[in-house]
Amino acid sequence: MTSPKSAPTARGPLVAWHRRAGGRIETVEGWEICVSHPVQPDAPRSGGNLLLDWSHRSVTELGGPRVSELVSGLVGADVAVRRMAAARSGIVCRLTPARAIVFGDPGSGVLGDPAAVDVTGGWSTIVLAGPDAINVLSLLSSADLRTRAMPVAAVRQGPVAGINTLLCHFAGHWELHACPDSIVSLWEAVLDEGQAYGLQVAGAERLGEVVTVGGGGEEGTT
Amino acid sequence: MSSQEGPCTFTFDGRSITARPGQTIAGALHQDGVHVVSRSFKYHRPRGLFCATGRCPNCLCTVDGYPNVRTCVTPASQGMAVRSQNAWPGLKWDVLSIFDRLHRFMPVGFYYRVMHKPRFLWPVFEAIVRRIAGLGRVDRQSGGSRRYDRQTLHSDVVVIGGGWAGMHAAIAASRGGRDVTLVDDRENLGGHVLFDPGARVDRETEFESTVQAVLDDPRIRVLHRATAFGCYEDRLVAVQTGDRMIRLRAGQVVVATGGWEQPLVFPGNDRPGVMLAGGVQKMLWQDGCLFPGDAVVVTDNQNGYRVAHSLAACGTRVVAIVDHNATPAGDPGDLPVWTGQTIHSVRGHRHVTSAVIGPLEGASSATESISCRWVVQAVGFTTASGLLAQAGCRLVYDESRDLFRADQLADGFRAAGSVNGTFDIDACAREGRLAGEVAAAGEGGGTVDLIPAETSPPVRRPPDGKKAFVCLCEDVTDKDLFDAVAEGFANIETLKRYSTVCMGPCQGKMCQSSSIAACARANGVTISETGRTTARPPEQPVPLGVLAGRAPHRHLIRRSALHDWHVEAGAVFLDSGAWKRPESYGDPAAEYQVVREGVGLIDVSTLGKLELRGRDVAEFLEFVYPNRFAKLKVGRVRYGVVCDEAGIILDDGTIARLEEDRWFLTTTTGNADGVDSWFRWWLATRPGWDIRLTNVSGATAAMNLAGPRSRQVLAAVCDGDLSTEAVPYLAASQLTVAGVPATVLRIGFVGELGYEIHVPSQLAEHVWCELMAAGAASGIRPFGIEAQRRLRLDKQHLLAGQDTDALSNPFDAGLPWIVKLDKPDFVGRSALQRAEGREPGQQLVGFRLEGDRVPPEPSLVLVDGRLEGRVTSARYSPVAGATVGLAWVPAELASNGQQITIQLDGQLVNAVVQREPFYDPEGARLKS
Ligand code: FES
Repeated sequence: MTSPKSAPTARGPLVAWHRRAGGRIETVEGWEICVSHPVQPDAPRSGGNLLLDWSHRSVTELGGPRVSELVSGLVGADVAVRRMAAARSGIVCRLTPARAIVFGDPGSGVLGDPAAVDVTGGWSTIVLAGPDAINVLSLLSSADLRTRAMPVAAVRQGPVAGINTLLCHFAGHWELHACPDSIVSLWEAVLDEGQAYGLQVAGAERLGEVVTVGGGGEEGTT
Repeated sequence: MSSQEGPCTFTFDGRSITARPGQTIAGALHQDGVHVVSRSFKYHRPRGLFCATGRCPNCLCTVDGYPNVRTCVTPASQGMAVRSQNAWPGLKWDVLSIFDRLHRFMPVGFYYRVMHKPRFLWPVFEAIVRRIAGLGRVDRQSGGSRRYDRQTLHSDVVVIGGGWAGMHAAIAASRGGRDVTLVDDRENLGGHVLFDPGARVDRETEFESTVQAVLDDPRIRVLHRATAFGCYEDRLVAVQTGDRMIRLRAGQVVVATGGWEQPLVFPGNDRPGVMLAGGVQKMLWQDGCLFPGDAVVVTDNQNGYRVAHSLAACGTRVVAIVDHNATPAGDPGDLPVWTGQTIHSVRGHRHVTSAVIGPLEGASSATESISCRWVVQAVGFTTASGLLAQAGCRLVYDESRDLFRADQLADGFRAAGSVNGTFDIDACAREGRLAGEVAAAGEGGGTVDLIPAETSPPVRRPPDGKKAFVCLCEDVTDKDLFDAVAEGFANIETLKRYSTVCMGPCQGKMCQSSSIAACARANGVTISETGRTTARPPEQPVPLGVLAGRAPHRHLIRRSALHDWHVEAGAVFLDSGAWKRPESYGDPAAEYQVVREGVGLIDVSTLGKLELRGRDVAEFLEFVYPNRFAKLKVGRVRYGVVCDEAGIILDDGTIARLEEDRWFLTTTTGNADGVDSWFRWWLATRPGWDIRLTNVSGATAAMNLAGPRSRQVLAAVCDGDLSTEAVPYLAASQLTVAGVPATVLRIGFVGELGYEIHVPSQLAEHVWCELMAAGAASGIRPFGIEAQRRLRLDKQHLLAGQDTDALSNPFDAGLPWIVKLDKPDFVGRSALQRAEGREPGQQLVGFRLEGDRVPPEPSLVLVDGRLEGRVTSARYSPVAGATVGLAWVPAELASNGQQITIQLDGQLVNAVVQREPFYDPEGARLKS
């Protein structure tokens, strides 16, 4: 096993899985990314259930008494606990009054703040989209996923397939954030339960189809 | 109904059977003239369809390798292989039917009293008993191929039972603005009304429109073919549908489970051809089966008249309606009625040949035999109230209705319809609507207001007789129950356990009422005084696979960011909790050697990693660790153990000060989450502290580059000065390694010059590969935890959790220097202060055992033959030329040179205590 001296390339925990499944891997902005998967012959062109890997994102954890201030700076208003809101180029999930996670680039102003810790690579993201996403999740989680209990822009932390997961509800999809050491197990569990619903794995090139820029709109701000 | 469109063919015990579209297996068998479908549990008596609605044990068969399938509710499908159960060599001639003749020697509870003497014969008996007991055989091969899963659903209102009351409850709850889940165990809604055209007379349109209203209501989710088998705390309803278990969380629950039709107890009541009315109606109208020949209908209510008319309409000659009442309970038309009579017995072996009819309370001389093939019983229902009882509702015996019903409901529960003992169809609808409205208002619970009982007369019980079965599942007769009571098992609960009545596949549906009545009669008390047995889940037998869900097939595996590299490198993995860790790459001895002589690289990403920021971190660390940190300089790292309030070691790790107010801590693999929670708990007690704790365990990967050549390898990919002056032992440096910002700790768990390199997880493989490439010329090898364990034992470095336990404090574990009792209060201080002044019991020490025999963990340490300690870790050490290890030994043996005795492979071997490391005791290599 040899390794040429090379520029650092980031690799998410699912890359090897994608490679084994025949995914096309490319290096984009310093990350190895699975851009596409072979399309299954029976897969619907649109409107089907899709599973995507979005681990190639910056993640920042905000902690301490200044979280409200930092969140307001990112979103334009404070965000209620267990809700999320769109930031400049990502999403802010408010977990507790003193803790928030920013998925996406928070900007250099926030990154330099002592209340912010770069935890990129500490969270991996799975995107589950399609009409049966909620049914697939109900096979893996005991959370109340009804819109009343978990409206769009809601954030809940708890076990999904027995794995501690941050579950975010968007208008057209769900995002499951978990520790990278467990993400392969989570991915395989979702895929397994999704079989009955024709869940297809897709590459990052289809992220744009299911994830609207900014994700959650303005819901969730207080 | 099945969606199957044309006829299908399946086999029953190898014989080909054709089923009409939508027909059940049992329906097709009946139509084909197969009226014996199983053999009974104990006496191996021939059994035929009895309830035909999925409640009794009679139609259980093995279908495609799966035992105990209720064939009367299982649609037939093409190619199915159906086999009868509990019969050998075949259903027709079953050798074990000899037990039916030997019943005198097999009274109830006989297995408690025989076969245990002489003792040496018990294994023989046991083998025989095991072979012939039980129902069906699990096919291990096909048993593994089924896919079970589990789902969680939430609903404002859950209605259990899709009969008339349940449908009205669901509609009412939906109209109240609630989302409703209706659980029904049949293919189609409607309950027993579905199979009883007489009950629908004049309301066919109303019936159909009600069903349609439920199906069309977007607020109502209908779970068809779904059986609610358990009610648990906080209105958690367990539902089985096929191979899936649904955990249904309900805001309110309406139980509309209806009733179970009750059989009479009379001699021969188990003979094929004796059936319950509801089953006959279902067979006629759903399965399209006929009952050729003559039939006797025994009844005490209108139901019997309706089934008699149904039979007559389908070509059966109804030779008698035997009515318990003095005047007919229904309109017989031109069918013959025998009033004030009941059935005394039936005759026949493989099928009923005649019924003996006589007065309800009369002498047997007044009986008359009527030739017939079918005896149909329609003598009322008992309430299907098991789920209510499980939920904590109080059930009382209602004398006027001769049944148990709930009079006090648990919070959030309502009951409606026949489960309340209400059998009038309009009253059921009214109760259903009321229950739905109350549930929608969130006001379930409280006392039940019953709509007054209509004309449901009590079930009258016929005289006793011989081999009259109370329990079809376990072949328990009424005589058995009387005998058991006479033996002292007079309480209904002990009677159940001793006789096993109600403990078979029907779970009391067919036999609970009769067994309570028999118990009451035998004791000479009332049914009220007798009471009923405790209802426990499951209400209906559930395959273990359904309960297990998919968990056995899908357990969490945690993989480090370098996992795929290890796989490619041929690592042999070890399960460490949920983690997969490389135990070795095939040759742990060589891996050990390369670290001692050259350079090795190990993945230690599984360590817990915490980052603490803020002004008060030093004060916090002084509080949660027994050693000192306030004066730790920026750029330095220190070892620490975390103790609880009792001074017991919880964990150990390193604490590095990266900046004045920025610290980086590591924990052991197994305690990463525990230490995180422990710290957060203490932080919560002082909200004023300026501390921000971030768990960076996942965000940071770690690798340990160790060995005398490690500096030169690191230098090849690192831009900084790595000399001992610049990066001394116990330095904590921020360096760029292979182009990646890294925290580098100069520590040496394995006892060599070494660097613990922490980098962002997503870049870990890049850094690892660069180090491997840079070390190629130095002969670098990856090493696994087996080599690491050997290396650390040379240095007597303990592993928290492996070498310590729930009683170990730092004094006993050989770490007294870490406890600074002269500093202000810290967690565990007073306990440690007491421990310091106490005579130690056992101490953790190093030991050396000549030779290469390695005592397995935990081998015993013996003193004068007494157990006085244990070995926690041991390995052969090439540098020591002997086996070395750590062991807990009595304090008096804990000094250098003391001899201890270890039990090894049943022999006693002597080892010598050595308190200083076996390798490089001065630490010169570590600090080089
Ligand atoms: S006959 Fe099938 S369960 Fe009773």
